[in-house]
Amino acid sequence: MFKKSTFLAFVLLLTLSMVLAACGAEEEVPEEAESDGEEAVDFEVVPEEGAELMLWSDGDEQLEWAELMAEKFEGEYGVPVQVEEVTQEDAPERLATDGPSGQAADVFASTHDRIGRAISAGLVLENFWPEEYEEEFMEAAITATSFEDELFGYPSGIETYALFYNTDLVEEAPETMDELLEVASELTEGDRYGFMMEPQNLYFVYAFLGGYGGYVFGDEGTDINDLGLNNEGAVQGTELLLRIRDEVVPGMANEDITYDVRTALFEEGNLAFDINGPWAVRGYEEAGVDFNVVPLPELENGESPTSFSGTRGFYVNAYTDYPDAASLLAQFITNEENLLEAYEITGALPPRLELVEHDDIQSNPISVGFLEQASHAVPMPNVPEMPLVWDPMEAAFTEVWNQDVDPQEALDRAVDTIETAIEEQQN
Amino acid sequence: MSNNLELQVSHKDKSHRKIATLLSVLFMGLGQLYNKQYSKGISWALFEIIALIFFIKPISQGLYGLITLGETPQVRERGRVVDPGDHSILLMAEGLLMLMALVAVLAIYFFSIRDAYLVGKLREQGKRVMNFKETVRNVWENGYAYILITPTAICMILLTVFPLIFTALIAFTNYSSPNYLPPRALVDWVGIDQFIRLFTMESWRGTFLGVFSWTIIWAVLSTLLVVFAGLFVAVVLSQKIVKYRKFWRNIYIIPWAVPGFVSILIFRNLYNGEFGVFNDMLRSVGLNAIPWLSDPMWAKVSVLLTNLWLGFPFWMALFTAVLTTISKELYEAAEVDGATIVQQFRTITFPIVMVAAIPLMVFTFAFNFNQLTFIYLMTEGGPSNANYTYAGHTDILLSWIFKMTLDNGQYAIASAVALVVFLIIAGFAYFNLRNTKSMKGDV
Repeated sequence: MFKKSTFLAFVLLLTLSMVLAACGAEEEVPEEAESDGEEAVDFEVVPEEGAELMLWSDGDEQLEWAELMAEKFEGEYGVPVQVEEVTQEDAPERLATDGPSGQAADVFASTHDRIGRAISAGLVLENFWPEEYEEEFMEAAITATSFEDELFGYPSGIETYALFYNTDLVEEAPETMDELLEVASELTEGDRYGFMMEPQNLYFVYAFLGGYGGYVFGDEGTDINDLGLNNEGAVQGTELLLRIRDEVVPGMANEDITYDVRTALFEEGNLAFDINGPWAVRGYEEAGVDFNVVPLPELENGESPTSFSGTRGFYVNAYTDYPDAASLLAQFITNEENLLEAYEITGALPPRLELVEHDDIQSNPISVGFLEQASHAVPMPNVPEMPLVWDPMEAAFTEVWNQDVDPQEALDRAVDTIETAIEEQQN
Repeated sequence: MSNNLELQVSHKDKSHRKIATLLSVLFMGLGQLYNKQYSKGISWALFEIIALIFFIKPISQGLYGLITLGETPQVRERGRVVDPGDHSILLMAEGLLMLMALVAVLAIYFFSIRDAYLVGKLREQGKRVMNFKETVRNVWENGYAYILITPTAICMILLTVFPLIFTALIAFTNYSSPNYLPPRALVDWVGIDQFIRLFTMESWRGTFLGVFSWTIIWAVLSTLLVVFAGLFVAVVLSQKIVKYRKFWRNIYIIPWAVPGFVSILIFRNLYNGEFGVFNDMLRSVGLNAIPWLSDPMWAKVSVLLTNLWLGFPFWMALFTAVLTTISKELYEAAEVDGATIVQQFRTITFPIVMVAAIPLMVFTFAFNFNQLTFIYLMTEGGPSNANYTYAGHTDILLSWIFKMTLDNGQYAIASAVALVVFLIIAGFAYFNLRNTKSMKGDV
């Protein structure tokens, strides 16, 4: 009897110790040093032995393209690539949690303005061939995917908004803003509207602000201590909003002009001019509207509006087990041939200089319209302070549009709010 | 005779208690060995040996990580990670787990000492000491409930308590964008700095009162409106005079069955001042259009009305169910006594249904207090308010915090705010539920 009970106790203790030892073992995982790291000094990059990669991509056509890329990459390098659908908006956030635990993709797509925080957290690896990319890609795309003077992204698409017009209502695209407003106010009648844009959204309004000389952050969007959103140019740009309100859409509150309203009106053929991005093209085509896209018309001072551009790029997860293979994949899918394929499948404008001149793109008037606007576009700043800018600016534009507050006063207040917030964020 | 003997023994070995306890403090099991409980003593001792060999390293490392939150930052060279460095947040999670393991080990240690003490006491009193077999049986018989509850308790600690403590701990660090994000940078403990910041930060203080008072108004009104609308409709539909009662009930249930966020987005379009259906209807009967979403006051009204539309069917269903449980005889008796319908409602219906409703009302209040999704989908906090920072007229605390903190990667301060909101809600719920009849007792 005595023996049996001792045995029982022993078994109990053994199980307990095993359970606890299993807990203890976890501790050692993050201690592992990455021994492959130093070999990468060699510029010759070859996939690691037994590498397997995962690629995150948006859905629909992007996914279709990504799957094709995975197949081609395996064919060329013999490295299997698994594709998983994670939107480019979600990817940076998921990287923060899934990266350290080893569940994130090795390569993923993100828009440049959302990746800033992940980069500043050290979750993304630098582009391995920065010199090559700087030579071969549009400057705006390189600026957008660089961070503190270091290139991180492998740019795959650039987008900006431009002027859409309904070719049934308007014969020729206006050259200047005055012309646009004049035509638009003539066309406004009953249920039909000449021109609409979201007046409280800095993303769109920035085109005017920038055209007159305003800017968000100085030094190409990197100097957070230099805000240019309440300078003379910004005020002039905001005053243009008031002209639009009075001449084209009198009596409308900015809350009434939503994205849904605008697109619905355009699809019904009841809106002549619309400022929108490439994402709207497919919907308008499906609605059967005859339309064309041209650069935003010149401002009174003879300058072109400087729209915000967004760059979609691929990034390599810093926690990848196969940094070389992953960098190769990112490089592979942004090479000339594959970006052209991306354009054909998804319609994304490739930021590669060679491709801009390509016949396939030059023969499509809509793409040409966006590309021309892109040459005037400014990348949205990608500093982590950028999110602090949107809301105060929206409040300022709302005040000006809805309550006739003096533009200078409203912008000063917004800039003050942003400065305080930036200061507080530095804690 | 036997009594005499016991007294003698206890007199002789008065110090059993002390010695056994002391020995057990020195090393687990020694006390038991001294008490001549060899099997038990050996098991305890084995446990301590195993613990010393296997746990000391992970536990001390874990605690060290928890205290320092990492010491070596990441090192990179040529775009490749050379030294991954310490990940403060992971260290914190591991350290917390190890802390819990340590507490468990210490608890076992404490039990072994207590056991030695108790057995020593028994010996002093000269009582018979249970042998090992009897002890095991005793544990099985008397501790059965504890053995059954152990898996649940472990799951609860790991799945509920651990994440809560973890979130709360974040509030005492400086985990935030852009300067304190792991793995590139280390995170540090900053004590109650985040809480101090909350009340000294200009952007917070200026807006806090406005948003906080609207949050209270919103939570109270939205709760009361849905409850009383639900009660009203349920009582009306329970009257026999009403024809096609089932049909009406089904119609009223529909809003509840439609996925909330779809209807919210549709409502948002219906409220549109220029193109919305509501204003079209107003204009068609010759009334002035209402600036539903662009005027601060009307925006608040719109939000409350939509919430009413979405929320009352649940309450109607609940009250309908409760009403069927009220005995008809009560009403018959009341009628005999000559009570009017209003009197019947006030003295019979209302008190009975409220017993069922109040705990749920408290939950609804807490839920609405944090109704981030609804506000976010409905107005995004708009119309914007230039006097607030990062908040609009209809922003409630949580949606404001969401914009200001999570959107901008201010995790530490977000967690501090979450703690503050938790205290408000928990305090409110606690006092309300404690004073509610329906939550007293199990039956």
